[in-house]
Amino acid sequence: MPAEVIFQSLLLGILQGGVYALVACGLTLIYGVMKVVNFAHAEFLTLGMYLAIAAWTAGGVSPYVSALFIFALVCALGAAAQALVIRPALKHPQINQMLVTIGVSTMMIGAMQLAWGPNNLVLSLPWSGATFDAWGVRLSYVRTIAFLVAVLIAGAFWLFLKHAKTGMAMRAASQNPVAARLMGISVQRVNLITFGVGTGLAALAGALIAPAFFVNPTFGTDYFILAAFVIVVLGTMGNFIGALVGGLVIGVAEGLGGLLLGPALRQMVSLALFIVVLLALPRGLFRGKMT
Amino acid sequence: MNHVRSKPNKPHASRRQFVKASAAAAAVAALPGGLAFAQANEIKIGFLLPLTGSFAEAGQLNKQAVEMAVDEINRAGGVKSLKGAKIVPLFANATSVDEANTETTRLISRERVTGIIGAYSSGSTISSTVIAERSSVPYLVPNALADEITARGLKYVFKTVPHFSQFATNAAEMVLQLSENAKRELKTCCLVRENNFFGNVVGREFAKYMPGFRIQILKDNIFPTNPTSFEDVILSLRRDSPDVVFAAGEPSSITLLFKQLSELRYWPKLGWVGLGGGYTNPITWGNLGKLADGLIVVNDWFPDIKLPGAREANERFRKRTGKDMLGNSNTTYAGVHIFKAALEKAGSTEGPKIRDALAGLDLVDGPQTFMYERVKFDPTGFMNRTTLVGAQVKGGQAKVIWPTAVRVADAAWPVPDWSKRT
Repeated sequence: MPAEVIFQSLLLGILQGGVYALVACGLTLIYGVMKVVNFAHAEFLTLGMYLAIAAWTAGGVSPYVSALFIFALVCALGAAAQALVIRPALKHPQINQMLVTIGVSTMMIGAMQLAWGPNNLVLSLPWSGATFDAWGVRLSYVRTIAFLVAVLIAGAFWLFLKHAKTGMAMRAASQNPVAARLMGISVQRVNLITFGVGTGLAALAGALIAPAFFVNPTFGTDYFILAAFVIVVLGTMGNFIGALVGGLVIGVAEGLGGLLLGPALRQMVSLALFIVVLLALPRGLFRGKMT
Repeated sequence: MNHVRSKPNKPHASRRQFVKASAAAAAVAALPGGLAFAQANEIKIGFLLPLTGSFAEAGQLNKQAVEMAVDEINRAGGVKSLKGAKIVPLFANATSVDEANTETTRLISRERVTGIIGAYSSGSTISSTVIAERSSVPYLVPNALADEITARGLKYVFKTVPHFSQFATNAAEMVLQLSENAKRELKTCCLVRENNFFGNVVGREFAKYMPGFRIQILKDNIFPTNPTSFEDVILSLRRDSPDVVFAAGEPSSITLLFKQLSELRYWPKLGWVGLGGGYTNPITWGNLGKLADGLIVVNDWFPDIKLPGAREANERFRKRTGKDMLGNSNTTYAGVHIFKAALEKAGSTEGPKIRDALAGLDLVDGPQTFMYERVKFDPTGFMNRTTLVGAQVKGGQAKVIWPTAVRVADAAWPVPDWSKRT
C-alpha cells in the first residue's frame, strides 16, 4: 500500500470524523446534562437537512445562511418537545424516557414522510462537488466547512461550559441536580435550554452536511445514529472536545479500516476500537469529565 | 357492533335474519347458472405478486401492468379462439416462499385457474412452480431471474426474462463490443456492489463468467448497506485503475457514491456500468442530475428503445400510474400478452394443451413486440432469445445504446472523465 494513498485516506478520514463530531455534539450535550438518551436526535438532523433543502429550492437560500435560522427554529421546536413530552417523563424510570424519545422519533419520521415523501431528495448547490487541493489530496469544501464548524462548536462549548454562568449551571445540574436546585439554579430551565440547544445543533449539522449527502425520512437513523452514540460514549458523555476527538478516531478508523480490509469490514475496525477503549476506560476517553 | 349487541331488538333482528336468509337463498339459487356462465365466458389466471411488505411498491405496479394488459385484451374481444372469453385476473399475495406455495395451491384447487403468472422473487418462483407442475397448470415467469427456474426439467414452466447470469455475460459482451468499436483495449474490471441479495448475485456471476471473456476482476469491492462514505472504495479503485467498473446498489448509496466520485475526481479508464436495481431507477438519475451523464445502465428494457410501440406502451402505463414501465412492470405486461397468445393458439383451457401451445409458440408480432422481437421458447422453457439491453444516461434520460439492432443512440465510449465534462 503506497504511503500516499494512506495519507489521503487519513486526511479524508479526519474530515469524515468532523462530520461525525458535528452530528454527535448535540447528542453529547443532552446525554451529558439531562442523562436522557435521545433516540430522536437523528430525526432532528434529518429535519435540518429537509429545512435546508426547502430553503434552497423555495428561495435559493444557501444552507450556510439558512443554517442559523434552522438552528434557532429547531431550538424552539426542541424546547417545546422537551416541555411537552420529555419533562413529564423525567420523573419516571430511564427506560420510559428512552421510549418517549423513540415515540418522538417515529412521529417525526412519519411527519417528514408526509411533508416531503419517501424518496431521496438532493440539495445540489452549483458548487456541491467543488474541491480544493491540499497536500495532493482533493478535499470538498462542504466537508471541510463541516469539519471547521465542528471544531469551532466543540471549542466554543468547552469555553461556555467552563466559564459562562449558564454553562456552569448546566454542569452543576448534570453533576447533582438536587444540590444545584438548592443553590438556586432552575434545573427545569437548564433542561429546557439543553434540549433546545442540543436538538438545534443536530439540525445545524443537518443543514451543513446536506449538500454532501441526500435525504430521506429515515436518513438520520439509517446513517448516523449508531456512529453518533459510539462517538458520544467514546469521547465521554457531555464532553464537546471528547465528541470531536471521538469523531476523529471513528472517522479515521473507518477510512483506514475500509482501505486496508475492504469497505465491508470498515465498521468492524472502528467498533473493535470502541470496545477496546471502553474496556480500558469505561467512562470514555475523558474519564467522565465534561470539561 | 357492541351497542347493537347490548340493545337486542328482537323484531329488527328477526327481520334482518330473514333478509339475510333470503339473500343467501337467492345466491344459492343463482350459483349454478353463475358458475356455468363463468366457465363459458371467463378464463381465470392467477397472479402471484408481493402486494404487501417491502416489495409492495413493485408488486402493486406489476398488478397495474397486469390490469392494463387484461383491459386491452378484453376490450379487443377477449380470447377469440375461445368464443371471446374474457380474462379474469386473480391476484394472490406472495411475500414469502410459504405464502407463494399456499396461494398457488389455493389458486389451483379452489379457484381452478387456467394458468399462473408470477411470482416476482426467485425463491417463491422456484418452489411454487413445482406445485403447478404437479397439477399440470402452465406457469409463466415474467419477472424472477434465477437461472435454475428453467434448469430443473419442469414441463409447465416458461420463463420470459433473462437469467441472472446474463447480467455478467450480456454486460461483458456489451463493453467488449463498445471497446472494439472505439478501438480500445479492455482487459480489467473492478466490481462495486452493495452487500445485499442482488449485489451478491452480481459478485457470484461475475466471478464465474468474466474469465471466459478474458476480463480480469482486479478487485471485488463490497460495501455495507447505508454507508456514510465511499472514500475507501474510491481510493482503492484509483489504486487498481481498472478499464471498467461494474456496479450494483440502491438509489441512496449510488447518490452518495457519485457525489464522492466527482469530488475525488475519479473515473474508470473506459466507463462505469450500473446493473439493474437502483442504477436503472429513474429516481436515481433525477437525484444525480449531471453526475449521471455518461453512466451506462443494464436492464431488460428501457422505454427509449428501437422497438415498435415501446414509447406508446410506456406512455399508457404512465397515464395509469404516473411512473415509467420499469422494474418488471414491462415484463409482466408482456407476459400477460404472451400467455393470451398461447390461449389463442391452444383454443382450450386445458393445462396440457396450453402448455403445448406455449412450447410451440413462435411470435413475431403482437403487443409484446414492444420489448421482444420474437417469442420462442427453448426445450427447457426459457425464452433464450431474450437479452439484457444497455442504455446510457444523459440529462436524466436513458437511451438504449446496445444491442446495436435496438439502439436509439450511439454510445459515448470511453465515457469522458470529470475534467472533460461540461
